[in-house]
Amino acid sequence: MSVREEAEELACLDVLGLLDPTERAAWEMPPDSAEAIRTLRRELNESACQLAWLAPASEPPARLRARVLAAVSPARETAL
Amino acid sequence: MPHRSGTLTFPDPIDPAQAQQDLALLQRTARGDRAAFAGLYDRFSRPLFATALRILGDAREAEDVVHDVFITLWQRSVEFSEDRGTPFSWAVTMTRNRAIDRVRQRRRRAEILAEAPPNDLGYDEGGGGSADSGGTLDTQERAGAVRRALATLPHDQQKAVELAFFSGLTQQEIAENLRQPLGTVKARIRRGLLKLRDVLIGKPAP
Repeated sequence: MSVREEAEELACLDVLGLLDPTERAAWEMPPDSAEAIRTLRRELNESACQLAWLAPASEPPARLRARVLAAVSPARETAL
Repeated sequence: MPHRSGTLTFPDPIDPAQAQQDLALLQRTARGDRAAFAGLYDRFSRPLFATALRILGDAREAEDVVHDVFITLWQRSVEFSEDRGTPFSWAVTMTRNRAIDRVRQRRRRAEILAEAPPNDLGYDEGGGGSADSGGTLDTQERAGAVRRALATLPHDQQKAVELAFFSGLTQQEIAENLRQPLGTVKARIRRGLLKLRDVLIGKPAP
């Protein structure tokens, strides 16, 4: 596997939360490739997050909206 | 704006106009605008709840996760940086991480109690929750676009990427679940996610 492929693999595993702490700590890119890896990682993360649309459509219960909005109401916010 | 990938044309699942609207709502939320926060809830709650439910297989737990994510969005919206991604990916990442943490805690508790591990290790095709008739038109369109993008991947890559996103399994557990060597699974995830990026963002492979 090339250095580039290895970096791509680590970026893919990282955005999916599959790197263990040791692998994550060992993942140090040469400074001249850091920006490219950041861009790659961001693109991969945006793409992976679109998979959320594949979860079977489920309507959140109406009480959840009320619960969330009540939690940030002026009266409750000080308790957060 | 639609873009082409090979001979196919896709709508843009990552729609820059939508992302800008999300960003505007998040920025207003950071200034304490509750109406903007309610707008973010209305735009994000369906995919976030569906994702949490798919990972957890428990509607009540999914509800708690999504509640906590929105409270975090409210409290930390001022810290959001566009450099790290879009508001949607921030919210999805938080939801997924929290749901997976719960799955892993659940499994640790089960191990401690010496119970048999679940057969599907958290990977539930059916979602286990209160599936509706398919969601709003926007939800259906975006889901269809992502599904078509995923369908451009070879089946083994689709399966590896979906399992990695929704299961909460470790690399090794994914390999065991798919009965493939770890290196093969990592390569499938790499190729699959890169291809998905190319299709969804319209970025040609160099």
